[in-house]
Amino acid sequence: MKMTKRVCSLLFVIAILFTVVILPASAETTSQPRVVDQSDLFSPDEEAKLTEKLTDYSKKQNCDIVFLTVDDFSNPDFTFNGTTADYADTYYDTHGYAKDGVLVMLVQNNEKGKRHIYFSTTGKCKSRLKEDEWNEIIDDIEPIIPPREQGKNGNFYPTFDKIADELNVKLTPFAKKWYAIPIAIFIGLVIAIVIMLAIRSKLKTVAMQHGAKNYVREGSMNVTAARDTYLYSTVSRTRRQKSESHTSSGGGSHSGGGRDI
Amino acid sequence: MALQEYKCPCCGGAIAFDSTLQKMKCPYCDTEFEVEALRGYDDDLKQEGSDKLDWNTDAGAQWSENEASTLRTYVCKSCGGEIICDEDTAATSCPYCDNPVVMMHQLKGNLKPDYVIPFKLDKKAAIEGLKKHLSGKFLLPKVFKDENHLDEVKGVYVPFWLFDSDADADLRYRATRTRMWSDSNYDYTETSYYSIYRAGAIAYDHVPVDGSTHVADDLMESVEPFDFSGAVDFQTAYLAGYLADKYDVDAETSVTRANERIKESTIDAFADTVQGYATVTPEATNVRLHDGKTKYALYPVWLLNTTYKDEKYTFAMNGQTGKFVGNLPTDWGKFWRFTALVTAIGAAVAYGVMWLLS
Repeated sequence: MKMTKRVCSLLFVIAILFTVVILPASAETTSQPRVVDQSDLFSPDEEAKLTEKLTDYSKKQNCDIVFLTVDDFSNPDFTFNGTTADYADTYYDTHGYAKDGVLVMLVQNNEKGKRHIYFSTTGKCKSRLKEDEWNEIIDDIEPIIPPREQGKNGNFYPTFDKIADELNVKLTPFAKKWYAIPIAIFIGLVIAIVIMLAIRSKLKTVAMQHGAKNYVREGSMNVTAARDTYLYSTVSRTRRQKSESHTSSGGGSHSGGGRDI
Repeated sequence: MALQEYKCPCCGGAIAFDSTLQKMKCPYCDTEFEVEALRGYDDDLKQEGSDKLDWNTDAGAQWSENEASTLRTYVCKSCGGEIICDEDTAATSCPYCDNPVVMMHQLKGNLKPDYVIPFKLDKKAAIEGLKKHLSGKFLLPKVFKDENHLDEVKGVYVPFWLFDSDADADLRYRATRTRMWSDSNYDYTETSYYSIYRAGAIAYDHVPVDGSTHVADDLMESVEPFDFSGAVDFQTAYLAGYLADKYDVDAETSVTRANERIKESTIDAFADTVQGYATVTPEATNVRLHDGKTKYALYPVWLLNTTYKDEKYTFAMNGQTGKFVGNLPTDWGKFWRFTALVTAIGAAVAYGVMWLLS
């Protein structure tokens, strides 16, 4: 009897968790090209392989992952305010991609004349790919990206293949990570224990009293001396997590960043 | 060392104190008497009581030595039956004829209480109180409620020591105040430390301490508070119809507990005057008590006993205010079933929130 009930409640959990997992899986991704190779860094074969990979990952993560390579910002088919960030943001906004997504742009000569890699995130991806995470990706590709001196002649495929794989891992929503369900159950258990112990505490009404508040003679309390002396102060500081987002010239709200490479 | 029975002047029946009327009432002829009217009668009886030695220790020969030293036997004046009770019993009823009896020698001289708070609530209220106590308790085993056979319901005048005291206090607290602000790169927290000094006086009246080892101290502190304004000068007539014990813990021993409570409350009361800080921790507390006075009083408590799964459960109800206390057993099966259910719901909600946030 007790066993059946326990099994029932366990099935109930699994049912609920299952529903929650299945529900948001209606992918809403684009038919626009995912690899926009304006610098012509990839062979057609490489481009096809990358496109396949990005399509697969985009569906899995329910957001658009786009690679954009450009030589410079000279001939855009949109208006932007001249910065690297705004170029990437506005490109994403004006080319029909989904509301949640990441655009990784490699520019050979940006407005400051540098080779630069930039991660532009929007929608849910703003919180899924944070500053330290895209920084980690850049750290990881720095040793394998063809040196700047080689210009566009190097083999960029391994670099972008690695970016795609790392994005796939980092963009995985917290709820889809393997430890999300154990953590959820742990949170549930803590809530349950707090609630159940609170209910159980109603069964215990016998305890020694603290103090004798009920027996204070009315009006007998008399404070004859009260001194509050300031001693010293300490100041501690913690670095603020930067999660500022900005609005692109295309009107979308974006986050992200990049560095010269 | 006499037994005191209150006989109805009209019909000779045994009369008892009625908590509803707050008067003595004869159950046979329904005549009511003011307690005051019995005072004179009471005094007369006390005087004649001294030469009627109705208890004998010879009977102890049939008991083991230990039992003999704690048991007393009396002979009921109404039916001649033998009443066996504890050495501390001050009032009980005859097991044969149910007439209420009061052991006068337990309430004389040093043993005479200064005050008594008469019962305001009767046995019916106590049983009703238990019913209410058991309702709305989610984790109480259903069987406990259903099979709730009361083994015993008794109205007991419990001996209490009452302590009056003035307290002088010198207290030092360490307190902190925090201030937070931020600039574009950092969040700052400034913690300021203060030394707080407070001195003053406070007084306490009638802090009660259970003077009987027959009832648990925590049970008696749990039915507090008693309203002392309901106390009257002691008269034995109030005990008729109830059980009563004399104290078996003396005032010197009991005062320790009163001091402890007075000290706790004094520290709390002065800590309440330290305001506007994030944290306040007592550093040095010095509480001096003086002008202490001790009084002896009998307070009304209904005690109810019940047995569940071979374990004894004792409940107590304040006979003046109706406050009902008593620990109850837990239905562990239900506890774990609902823990599982709440865990399931909590986990599902937590998981849902994770989705919304990611």
